[in-house]
Amino acid sequence: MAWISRLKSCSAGMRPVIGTVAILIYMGGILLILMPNSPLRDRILAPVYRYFLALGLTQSYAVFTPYVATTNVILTATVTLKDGTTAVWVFPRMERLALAARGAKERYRKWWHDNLLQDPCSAIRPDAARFVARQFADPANPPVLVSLQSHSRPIPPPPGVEFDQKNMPQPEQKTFFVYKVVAEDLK
Amino acid sequence: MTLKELWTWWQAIWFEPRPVTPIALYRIIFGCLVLSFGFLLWPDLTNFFGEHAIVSMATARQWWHGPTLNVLLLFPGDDNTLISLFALFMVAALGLTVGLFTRVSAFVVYLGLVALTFRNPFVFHSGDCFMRVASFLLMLSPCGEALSLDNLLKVAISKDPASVGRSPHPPWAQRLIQFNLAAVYADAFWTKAMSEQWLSGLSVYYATRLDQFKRLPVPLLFDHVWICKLLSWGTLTIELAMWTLIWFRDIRYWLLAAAILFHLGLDWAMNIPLFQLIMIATFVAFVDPADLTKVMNAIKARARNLVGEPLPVVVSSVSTAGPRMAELIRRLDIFGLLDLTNQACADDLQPGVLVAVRSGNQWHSGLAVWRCLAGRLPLLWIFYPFLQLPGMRWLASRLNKRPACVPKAN
Repeated sequence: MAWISRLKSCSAGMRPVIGTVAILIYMGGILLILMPNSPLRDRILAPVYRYFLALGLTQSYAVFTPYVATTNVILTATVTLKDGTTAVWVFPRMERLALAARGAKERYRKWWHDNLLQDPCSAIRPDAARFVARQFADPANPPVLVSLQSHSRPIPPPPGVEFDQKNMPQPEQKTFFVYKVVAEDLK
Repeated sequence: MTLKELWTWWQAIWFEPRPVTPIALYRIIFGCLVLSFGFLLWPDLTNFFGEHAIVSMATARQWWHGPTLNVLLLFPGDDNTLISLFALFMVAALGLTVGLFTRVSAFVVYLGLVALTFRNPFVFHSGDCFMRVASFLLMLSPCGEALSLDNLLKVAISKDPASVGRSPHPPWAQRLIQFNLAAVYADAFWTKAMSEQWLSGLSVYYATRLDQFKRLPVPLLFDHVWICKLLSWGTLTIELAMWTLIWFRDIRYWLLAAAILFHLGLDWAMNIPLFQLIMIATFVAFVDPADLTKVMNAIKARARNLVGEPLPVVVSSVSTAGPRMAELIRRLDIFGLLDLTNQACADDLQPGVLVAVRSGNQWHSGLAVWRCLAGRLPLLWIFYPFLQLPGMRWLASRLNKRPACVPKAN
């Protein structure tokens, strides 16, 4: 059994080395993940990125960056029913909720304000349209079309701050996604 | 500095055993935050993650390019399964908070947070992201080695109860939490520092006018552009300091105090649930164990002033159960409200029960002891109503059927 004790003492001696390697991989990986995209960064990160991703360790803390939105936006869905009538569904608006409800419902804002409205996340728009359609599921008069509209209202610049009057954004209403509802969507 | 010195310094930083109280305290606060996270999610759980959620499982799977540790994929995707798994997650969060089966609880909490993220990443903010990462590091840390029910269970069966949970451990997991928190501020700082809007100081002006984020009113303060500018630059300064100056011990607590004020201010004005509390909670990882002891001693002194003289408690040391019981009571007495003596039966003590307390001028044993302790020790308050139930007297007498002694009645 001498070999067991030798193995034990050897592994105890190696522990700081193994620990150091693991720590350096973790720290290096996190730093690279948080760095701005670049081909070099991607190449260095490539061997470990899939493990960080699989373990849920990828991260980003770019809060209110690179700039804070200068427009207030609300999102509505216009639902056309089979009989031709329309109904409007308003995505949860935090400012209209009671203070206590805002904490629980804030994730809806995160969903539609920070993701659904953004083009890189357009893949989630059909699901959103289906979700809205299900709110109007009536076998007698089912929804047939859902369109998503954003309504933006610019925040006036602070007094005394110079700004380009011509480029000042105007209130805008835009339909950015239209979805034809099929029967399977309502199941 | 030679390479050898550097290696010694590195080992001291990451692997030199240290008391685990800061990470254990962080575990408790973190567990409470996970529970709050769960309670906030609960009403809309199926809307966010269910069979007919706002984002379908198929879309979520396509979103992630590569394999993911999403345990939800192993189960049927119906709402009942989701609710059952979420209940398990909440039980684990409770286990993590109280330190029961801590490692397993932390593992389940980590799996839960990761699975929810992979199921629908579009409803989570940066604070949730940090919580997920912290749960991974907590799972690997010795966070259950102090301030935990696991420890109390070990005390209850140990031959040397006084030594349970007293041994220090390598602090590498706690250091990685510190590192990760610094990385949060570094990322937040650099992404802002490259923005013209932030450098011009107008970001806070616009942020405070976003209707969706408004929480509690802040009269007048944000009406002045120069205050908004100061707050914008103050944000950048704090975020810069939190990953650079935080490593200097002399100014660390001042910096943490400033950061706490900063986050509380944000929490007041902006509706980003739990984010600020998650950040503030993690500051515990930066507190020196010796300073935590000092704070605890100050709280004990204040508690004694408030409650009065410590309650005399005698635990017999005749049997092996005595020292264990004494150690259990000592550990439950976090505010030092008891004057605990662990002694052998002396001539002036009559044979009797295991534990006795003196209330007024009388020594009590049996059920009265447990009622006294449950009334006195905040950690036992939850048991106080149950001790009034019928049948408790019998249970207490069973507990006391051991060779023991109590002081003779005065």
